Amino acid sequence: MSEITYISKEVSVEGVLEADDLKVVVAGSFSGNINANEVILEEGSRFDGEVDARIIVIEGELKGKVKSYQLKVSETARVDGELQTNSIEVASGAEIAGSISRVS
Amino acid sequence: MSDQQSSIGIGAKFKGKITGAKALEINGDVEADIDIGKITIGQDAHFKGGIKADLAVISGIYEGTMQAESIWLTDTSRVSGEIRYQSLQMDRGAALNCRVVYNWDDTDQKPKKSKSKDKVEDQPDDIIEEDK
Repeated sequence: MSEITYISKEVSVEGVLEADDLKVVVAGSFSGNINANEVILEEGSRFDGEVDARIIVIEGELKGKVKSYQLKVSETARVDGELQTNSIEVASGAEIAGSISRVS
Repeated sequence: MSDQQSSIGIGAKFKGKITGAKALEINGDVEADIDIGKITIGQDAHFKGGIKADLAVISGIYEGTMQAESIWLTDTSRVSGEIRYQSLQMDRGAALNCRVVYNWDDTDQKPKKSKSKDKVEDQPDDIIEEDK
């Protein structure tokens, strides 16, 4: 458990998080950059910035840039930005505005 | 998962601001200023920055100025900088190279920046001067 980085609901974080081969879960708000193996932006979370991870799951609100090998956007998600991914799954109900492209 | 307290995992590096947390556990490498209820700095953690807390439990490396009602320094803790406390517990083995102030009062003493020459290994030793 101590290897997971978790930002709980009431918490706001601003900054740069580098967790290269680790898992990051955000339930609160994060503004800045995240670099990790797996990033889960939970329902109710707010993210503003750039996120780069092998696996990314978006269930909350996101503004900014996303780069991932595998991206999942759930029905509660609202995404506004640039998505770069090789594999994307979008649930019905998700709101996406912006661009989607392959990881170069 | 959603009731879990916030934490920075082992191996993770964070630099920035964390606000709104009641409790926080740090196991990674963190540079921040934090105002919080309870903070735990784990054995693998390296924390740099200011802390204001009700309770601080330190088992890792801490550098900075900490102000807490209650401070517990466990046997693996390494502290440099300054700690201000009302209640302090220190385990045998705790390594302090810092200024220690009991029952601080913000109004009558403005803290000058951190003191102490620090000899703790595996951390960059910025030499900070002792002043009285």
